[in-house]
Amino acid sequence: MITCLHARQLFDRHLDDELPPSLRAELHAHLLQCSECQAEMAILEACGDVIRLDRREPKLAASFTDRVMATRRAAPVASGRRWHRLVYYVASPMAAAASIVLAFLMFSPMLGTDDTPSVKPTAIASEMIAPPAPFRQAAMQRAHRSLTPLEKAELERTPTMSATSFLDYLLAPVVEGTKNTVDGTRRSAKDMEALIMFAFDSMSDQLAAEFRERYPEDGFTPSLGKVGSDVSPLMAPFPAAAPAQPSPPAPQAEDDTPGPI
Amino acid sequence: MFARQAESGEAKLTRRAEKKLVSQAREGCEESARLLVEAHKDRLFAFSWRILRNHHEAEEVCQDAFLRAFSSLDSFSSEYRFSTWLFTIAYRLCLNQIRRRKSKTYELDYAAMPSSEPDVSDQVAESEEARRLKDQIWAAVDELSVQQRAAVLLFYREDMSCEAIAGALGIPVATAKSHLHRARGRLRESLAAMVKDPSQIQALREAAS
Repeated sequence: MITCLHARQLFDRHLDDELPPSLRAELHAHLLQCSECQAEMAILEACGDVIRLDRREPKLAASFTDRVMATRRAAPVASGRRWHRLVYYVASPMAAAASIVLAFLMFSPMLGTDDTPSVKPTAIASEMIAPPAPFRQAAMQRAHRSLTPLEKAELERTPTMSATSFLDYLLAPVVEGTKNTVDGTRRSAKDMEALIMFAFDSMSDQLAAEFRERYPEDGFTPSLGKVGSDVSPLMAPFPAAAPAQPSPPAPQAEDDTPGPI
Repeated sequence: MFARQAESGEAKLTRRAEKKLVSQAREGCEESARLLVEAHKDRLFAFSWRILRNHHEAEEVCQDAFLRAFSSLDSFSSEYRFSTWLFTIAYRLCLNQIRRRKSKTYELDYAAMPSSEPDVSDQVAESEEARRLKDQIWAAVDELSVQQRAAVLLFYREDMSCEAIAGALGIPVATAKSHLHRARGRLRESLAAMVKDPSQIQALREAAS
């Protein structure tokens, strides 16, 4: 037979419904012959009953459901965000890569103007057209990790494009649009800004064209928007840039990276 | 009491029905989304109101919780109960709300305190004594810490296990148990101080059920 002290130590486990049958039987036997413990247990059970069953909270207005549904319709995040999110997750590491390229392209010609020998801008540019494989791989893995299982499944269902070619495909217009600056000519920051915007617009166009081609039945064109103005006067004095050479794909990058879009 | 719950739309969905509605809502079925709101709104509001004790804030939390749940239905794993997930979101929103309060003054819903807003049917059915004891219990619940209160409400109202409570509150299982047990201890003390005769408790339990 268990003591009162022991019985009271078992109260919580009993109320949590976690007491093994043997102990539960012992507890019941004790309660039957100890009125004090019985009263204690009755108080605990009464508290539980009241909390479980006594509903005196104010009530929501009847219009609550309509309001939630209307707000949901006004911002249909669940369906509209899927595409947006994929682009965001996949493109953000590439946006980081692109900004590194642009930073090099912008500042390299200036570095070359003093007498100290510096890394040749063209060399840097050609190296940076495709970011070094380890960086690219890390970025893509990070992007892949932040996807939910459902998004990963979705990615696997979509036509695949290797991570490398997707990077090149996004970066190529950026690099091409700003390439004229690496032949030793210095541009003003304002001109550079215009060129970068032009490159951004080309990227946007290319993305839209690609999407239209892959999903013609969707009738949907993603757009990163237009930010720039006409830069043809800026381009005119320079010889046409050679198309950016996509770097050879890093083989290991293709195994565990998503094939976006 | 159960009949009244069902009438007010508080009957809980079975796991299977809930799963079905969630998958239809995910496919864009508006009616299923609406049914999910209908099935959970009263319980979710009662929970939020008990934590916040402010009608307006609790309503906002509920609305926000539903919208957030719907907006991330895609990432919701069907291994979990939708209801548990909803309470998890609401609890976090409540905590945010309480944090925000610290920087400004706010009002509790004294007008809606249980003792001053009795249900007509309750009034008829229960004795003055039982009502007084119920009020005492709810007053003691209000005195609990936010985590203890949440644990008690999820345990008794939502029939959640200690593991589910721990998941919903984002704390270890042992901590969830300790909140629940301490809360019980405090409720018991507060009620025992008012009870002189065990028959009072019997009357209270009968009135409650």
